[in-house]
Amino acid sequence: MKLKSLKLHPFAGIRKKEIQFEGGLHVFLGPNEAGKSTVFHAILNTLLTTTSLTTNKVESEMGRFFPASGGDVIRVELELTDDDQNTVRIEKIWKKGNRQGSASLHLPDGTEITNEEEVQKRIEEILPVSPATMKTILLADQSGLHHTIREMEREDHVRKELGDLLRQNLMETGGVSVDRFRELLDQRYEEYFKRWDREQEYPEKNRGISNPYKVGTGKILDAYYKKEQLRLDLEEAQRFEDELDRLNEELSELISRQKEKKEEFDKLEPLKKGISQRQVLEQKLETAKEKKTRLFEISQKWPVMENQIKELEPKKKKEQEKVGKLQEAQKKAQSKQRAEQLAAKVKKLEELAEKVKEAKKEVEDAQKIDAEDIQKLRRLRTEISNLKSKIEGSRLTLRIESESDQIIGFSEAGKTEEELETKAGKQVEKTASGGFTLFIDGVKVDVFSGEGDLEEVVKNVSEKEKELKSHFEKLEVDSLESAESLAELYRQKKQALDQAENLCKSELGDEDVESMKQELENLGDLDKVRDFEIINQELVDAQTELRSLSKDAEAAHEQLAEWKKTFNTVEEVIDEVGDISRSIKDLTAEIGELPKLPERFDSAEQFIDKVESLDREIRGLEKEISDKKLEKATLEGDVPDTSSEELQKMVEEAESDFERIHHEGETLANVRERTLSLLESMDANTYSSLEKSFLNWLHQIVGDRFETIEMDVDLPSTFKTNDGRPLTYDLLSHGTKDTVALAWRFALTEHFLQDQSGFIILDDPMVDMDPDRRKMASKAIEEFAKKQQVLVMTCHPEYGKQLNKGALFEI
Amino acid sequence: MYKIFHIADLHLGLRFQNHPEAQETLVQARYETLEKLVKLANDKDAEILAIAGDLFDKTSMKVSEIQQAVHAINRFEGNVVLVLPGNHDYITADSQLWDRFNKEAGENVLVLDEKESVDLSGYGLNAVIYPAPCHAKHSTENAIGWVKEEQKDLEKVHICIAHGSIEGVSPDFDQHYFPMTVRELQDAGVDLWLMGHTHITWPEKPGEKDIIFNPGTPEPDGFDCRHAGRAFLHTIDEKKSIQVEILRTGSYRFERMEQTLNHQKDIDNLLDEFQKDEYLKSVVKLSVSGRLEPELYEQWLEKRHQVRDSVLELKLDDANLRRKVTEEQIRKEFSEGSFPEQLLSSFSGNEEDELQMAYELILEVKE
Repeated sequence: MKLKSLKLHPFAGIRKKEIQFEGGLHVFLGPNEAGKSTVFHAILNTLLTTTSLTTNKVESEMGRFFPASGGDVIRVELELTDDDQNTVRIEKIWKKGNRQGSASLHLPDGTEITNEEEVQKRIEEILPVSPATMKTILLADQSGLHHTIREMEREDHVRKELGDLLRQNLMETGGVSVDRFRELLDQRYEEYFKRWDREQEYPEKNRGISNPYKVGTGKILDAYYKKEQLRLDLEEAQRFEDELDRLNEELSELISRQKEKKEEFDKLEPLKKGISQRQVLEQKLETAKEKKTRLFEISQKWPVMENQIKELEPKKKKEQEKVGKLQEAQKKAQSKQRAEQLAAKVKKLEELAEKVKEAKKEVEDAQKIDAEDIQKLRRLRTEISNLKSKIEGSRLTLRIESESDQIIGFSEAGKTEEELETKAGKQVEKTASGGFTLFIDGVKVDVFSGEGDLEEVVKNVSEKEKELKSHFEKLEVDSLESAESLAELYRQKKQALDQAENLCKSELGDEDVESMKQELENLGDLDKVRDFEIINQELVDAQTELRSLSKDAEAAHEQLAEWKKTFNTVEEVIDEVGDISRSIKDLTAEIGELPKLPERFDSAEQFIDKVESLDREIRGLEKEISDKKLEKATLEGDVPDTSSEELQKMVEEAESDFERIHHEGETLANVRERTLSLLESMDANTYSSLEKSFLNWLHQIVGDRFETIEMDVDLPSTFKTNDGRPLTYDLLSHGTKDTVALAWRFALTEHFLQDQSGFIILDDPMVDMDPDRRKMASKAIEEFAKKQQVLVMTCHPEYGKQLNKGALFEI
Repeated sequence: MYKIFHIADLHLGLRFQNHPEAQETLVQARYETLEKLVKLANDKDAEILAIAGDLFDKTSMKVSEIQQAVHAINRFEGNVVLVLPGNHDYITADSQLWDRFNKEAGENVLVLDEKESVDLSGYGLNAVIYPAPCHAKHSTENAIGWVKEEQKDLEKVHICIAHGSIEGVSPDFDQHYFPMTVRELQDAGVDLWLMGHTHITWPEKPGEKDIIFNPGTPEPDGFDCRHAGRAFLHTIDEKKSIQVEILRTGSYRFERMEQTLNHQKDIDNLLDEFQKDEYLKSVVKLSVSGRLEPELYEQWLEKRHQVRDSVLELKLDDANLRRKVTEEQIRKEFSEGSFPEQLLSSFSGNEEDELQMAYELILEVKE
C-alpha cells in the first residue's frame, strides 16, 4: 500500500490542507517544528492511534495536535492504494473528552466500517508490518533516525518480526511451516518421552515399577510400565505356582506318612486288647508261681521248725545250769580276793607298829633340850651382850709415860688384872671400856667413864654370866650353839615318831588288827579256788550261748505261731499249694489263647506304647495336614487368574511392544535432533541477505569506506574501515552514524516490504552529513524511491533542492 | 478290536488376555470344542475316550466351568473315559478340581489319579492302563518309572497314559515338566503310549511301528500352534497292531503371516486372501513390509481395515511397510534448499526409519 492522499482539517497548525501523493520521492520543506512534522504525525496517528481515547489519553497522546487557535476537534483523512489501484480511505476524528472521537474505513469494495475497534484492526491488517516495526523502521521521526540501530536493540518485537520474516523466506518454500513442524515434533516427542530418561533408558528419577508415575506418562514409559508390570505378574505367578508345588509336595508327603502310620496302626491296634490282657494274666501267673514256691517252702519248713524247738529246750537247760555253777564259783573267787587283801594289810600294820616303837626309843635316848631351854639361854646371852655393849661404849685410852722402868697393874673394868711393863722414856698405850683400874705401887686407881654406875653394869654382867654358865652345866652343854644343835636333834626324833604313829593310824583306819586276823582265820584255806577273771569269762560265754538259744527258740515259736495263725496246720498249707498249682495251670491255658507279642517288641508295654504313639502321630499328622491344607487354601485365595505360561507370552509381547515403541521414540528423537540442528545451521544464514542488502546501501552512500561489517546475528556490530580499523557503531561520527542508519533502514525496509509496495518517511536524513556524503545519500534516496514511496521531511531548502527528482511540497 | 479316541491339552480356562478382541470367543471355543470332540468320538464309535492331561488350564477352575466340562464328557457313549491329570490340572490329595470333577462324573468316567494299573476288563475291554498322573505343576522327575517294573500279562494290551515333555520333541529346557525320553518309553514294556503335554502333533505322520503318540492340542491356543487342532483315533486289533487316524478338531486358528507389499498387485492379493471365510475364525498376526509409492501407501492406509474386518482379531505390524521416499521424490515435492528438502535429504541410507518418520511428520503439517 502506498499513500494516495492526505487531508487535514484541522490538524496541529494546519487548518485545512489536502496533499495528493504520487509514487516515488516526495520532499516536504518547512520550518522545523512546523509543517513537516505535522504531516508525519498526521500519517502516523491515522494509521496507528485509535480515536477511542479516554479524556487523559486524548490530552497526552493527541493534545499537541489540537489547533493552538482553539477548537476541540482534529480530523484526518488518509487514502492508501495498492498497485492495482484498490483504494482504502481512513477517516479519523479525535475530540476532547472521554472517547468522543470516531473513525471510519472505506474498503475498495465500497463497504464502510465505523466500529472503532474493527477499524483499527483492519488498518493493522493492511499494514505490511506490525505497528512497532512501522514506528521503529518505516515511520521513524527525525529524532529516531540515527537511533535506528539502538532502537532495534531494544525492540524485541521488531527483531523477532524481522527474523521470522527472513526465516520464512528461506523455509516456507515447501509449503511447510517450520514452526508448526517443530511444534509437532515437540508434541510427539513429549508424547513418547514424557517422564522417560533417555540417557538412563529408565523412568525419570528412578521411578521404576515399584514407584510408578500415575499420570503424565509418555508412550515409552507406559509400554515400559506395562511390560514391567507383566514381568512382575509373571514372577508372582511363578512364585505362586512354585509355592503351590511345594505345598502340594509337603502335603502329599504328610498324607503318605499318615497313610503309612495308619496302616501300621490298623495292623497293631486289634492286638492291643489281647496283649494288654496277656500282660495282666502273665502278671497273675507270675504272682501265683511265686506264691506256690513260698507255700511249698513253708510246708517243708513247718515240721523242721517244730523239731528244732524240741531240740532247743534241753540245750537251754544245760546252759542255764552251767551259768549257775559259774556264778557260785565266782562268789568263792571273790572271798579269795578278800583274804589276800586282809593278809597284806595286817602285814603292813605290823611293820608300821615296829617303826613306831623304834622312834619312841630314839626320843627316849636323846638329850632332852627343848625350845623353852634354848629361849632362856638366848635371852641371857642377849642381856649379857647388851650389857657388854654398854661397857664397850665408854672406851678409854690410857697413855703412860714413866720415868723409870716399872711394873704397873692394870685391869679393865670387870676383867682380870694384868701387868704392864714400862720403860723409861717410853710410852705405853692401853685402851679400856667403861673404866679400868691401875695398880701403881699400890695405889689403886679406878677410872670410870660417863655416869658412874658402870660398875653396876659390870657386876650385872658377871652375875648373868654365872647364871648362863650354870644353865650350860645343867644342860650338859658348853655353849648356846651346842645347846641349839641338841635341841634340833631332839625335835627331829620326836617328829619321826609322830609320823610313824600317824602312818600306822591311817593304815588301820576304823579297823583293828585283831578282828582282821580273826576274819582271815575265818575265811579258811582258799588256795584251790580258780581265778575270778577266768570264771567271769566263762560265765559271759555261757550267758551268750543261753541268750542265743532262747532267741532261736523264741523265733521258731513266733514263726510257728504265725503259720498257725495263717494256715492253722501244715496240712492246710499243703492243700493251698495244690489249689495254686491248679490255678497256674488255668492261667497258662488262658494266656496260650491270647495273641502273642510281635517279635520286634520286647514287652507288652513297648507294644502298647507303640500303638498309642502311632495313634498320637496319626492325630498329629492329621493336624499338620489340616494346617497345610489351610495354608494352601490361603495361598489359593490369591491365585493369579492367568497361568505363568500365558503370562510368559504376554510378557514377550509387551517386551516387543516396548522395543517397538522405544524404537519409534528414538527414531522420532533423531528426527527432532536433526531438525533442530538443521534449523540452527539454517538460522545462521537467515540474516545473510539482510547483511548483503545493508552493505549494498552503505556502499552507495559512503563508497568503499568500510571493508567489512560484522553482524551480531541481526544487527551490525563492528565496522571495519578500509585501513583495517574495527569500529563499533558508537565510535562512528554523527555523520557516519546517519549514513549507516539510512543504509540500515533501506535494507530493513526492503526486507520488511519485500514484494509489496509501501512507503517510508525519512525526517531530515542528511543533517549531519558532509556535502559529498549528502550528495551520495541523495542519490541513494532517489534510487530507493524508484521502488518504494519515500517521504523526506526537511527544514533545509538546499537539501530539498538536492533531492530534485521528487515532488516538492512547501508547508 | 477297539478304538481309542485320544486327546490332550485342551486347556479349558485359558484366558487369552493378550487377545482382547477375540478373548471371549476363544475362551468359549474350547468348551465348544470339547463337546465337538465327544460327539466326534461317539460318531467314530470309540470304546475309549482318553484325555492325556491338561484338560484344564489350571486347578483353580470355577465350579460351573468344571460342570460344563464334565457334562460334555459324560455324553461319551463308549465303554470308558480315562482322564489323566496333567501338569496344569495336576491332582493332589485335597484337589477341589478333581473332587468336583468326580462328583459330577458319570460311572464310566475314571480319573486316573494313582500310579496303579487299572484293568479295563470290567469295562469289557482287554486292556490294562498304566496311568502317570501329575501331582504338581512342575517336576524334574517323570511319573512313569514304575511302569517298567509291573508284571504284564502278555495276553492283555498294555496302555500307558502319561503327561510331560519328551526329549527332542517338546521344549523343556529346565527339565521341569516331568521329562521323559523316547528310549525310556520304548523300554517300559507297554504296547501303546497315550501322551500329552506337547502342543504339536507327534509323530506328524505315524508309522506302523510307532507306539508313542502325542496328539497336540485339539483347539489351537496361540501362534505357536501351527495345526488346526488335532485328535488321534487309535484302533487296536487282537494282534496289538495299531492303526492311527489323525482328526482335525479345532475351530479357530492362529495365523502368523508375513507379506511384502511393493506393488498394487501385492496389496490386491493380500486383500483378496483375506476375503476367504476361514479368516473369520482366525487370529492373525500380520507383518507387512515393503516399499510403496506414496499413493499406494495411502491406499494401504485406507484399505488395511479390510483385513481387520475379515478376521477374528488382527495384530498388524506394518512398521516395516514404507513409502518409497527417494531423492527424486523429495526434489519433486520440495524446492531445493527449502527446509523439508534439506531435512529429508540429510538422512543417510541406514536412517530409513528416521526418513519415513520425518516424511510423515512433514506431510502432517504441509498445507
